[in-house]
Amino acid sequence: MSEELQAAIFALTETYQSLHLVARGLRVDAAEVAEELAKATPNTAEHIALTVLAEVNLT
Amino acid sequence: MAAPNIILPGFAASLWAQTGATPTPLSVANLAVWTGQVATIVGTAANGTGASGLQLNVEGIPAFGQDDASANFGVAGSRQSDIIPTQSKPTSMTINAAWNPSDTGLLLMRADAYSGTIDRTYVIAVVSGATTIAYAFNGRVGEFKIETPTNAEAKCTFTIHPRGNQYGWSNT
Repeated sequence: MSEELQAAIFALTETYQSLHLVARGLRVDAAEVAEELAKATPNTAEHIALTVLAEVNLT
Repeated sequence: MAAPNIILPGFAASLWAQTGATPTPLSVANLAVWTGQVATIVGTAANGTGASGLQLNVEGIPAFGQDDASANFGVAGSRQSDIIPTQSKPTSMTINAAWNPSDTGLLLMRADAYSGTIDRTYVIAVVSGATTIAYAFNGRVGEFKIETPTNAEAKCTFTIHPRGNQYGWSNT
């Protein structure tokens, strides 16, 4: 996993702000997000962060 | 495990609060994670572990969720006007409880109300057998009143104001 994506996931799992609002300000590779989302365990903070990143990074 | 797939009775709901005078509330992502997060606040009676939470002995769970807010528009020449949702706040929860001056949970609420700045994670857990659906949110207490009428038991009333965007759904 790239450092950018790791940092983005960390930011999203720690924040107290709106996840979608924070995710919009994080630049990550959509293909990598999709790849990691497929591997992530459901019902974990990491899975939730990746789901939000996938929703706001459509390209 | 999937969320309960039945219409739940209101009495199956219970309210849980994080313990500690100055707790660290769950992050927004963790508010939607049952295992190791929300489950630690919910007690075993509602299928959690309860390691860092206690039940608030309240008379009933008030409405929770999001308030309505909208703007009305009228367009000249158009038959229908338009109503558009705008930014709204989470629903404040005014809660009644029988007043026991030594109840740990009520003492926490009283201390939070005096402070006004303590963020705490609360969970509304609704149980159906071995499955639980949980609505977790962070909030502050904005009111704590005690009523002692001579013809009834003493009651206290407190209001939890959930913080904006800080909520999550999870289930066992």
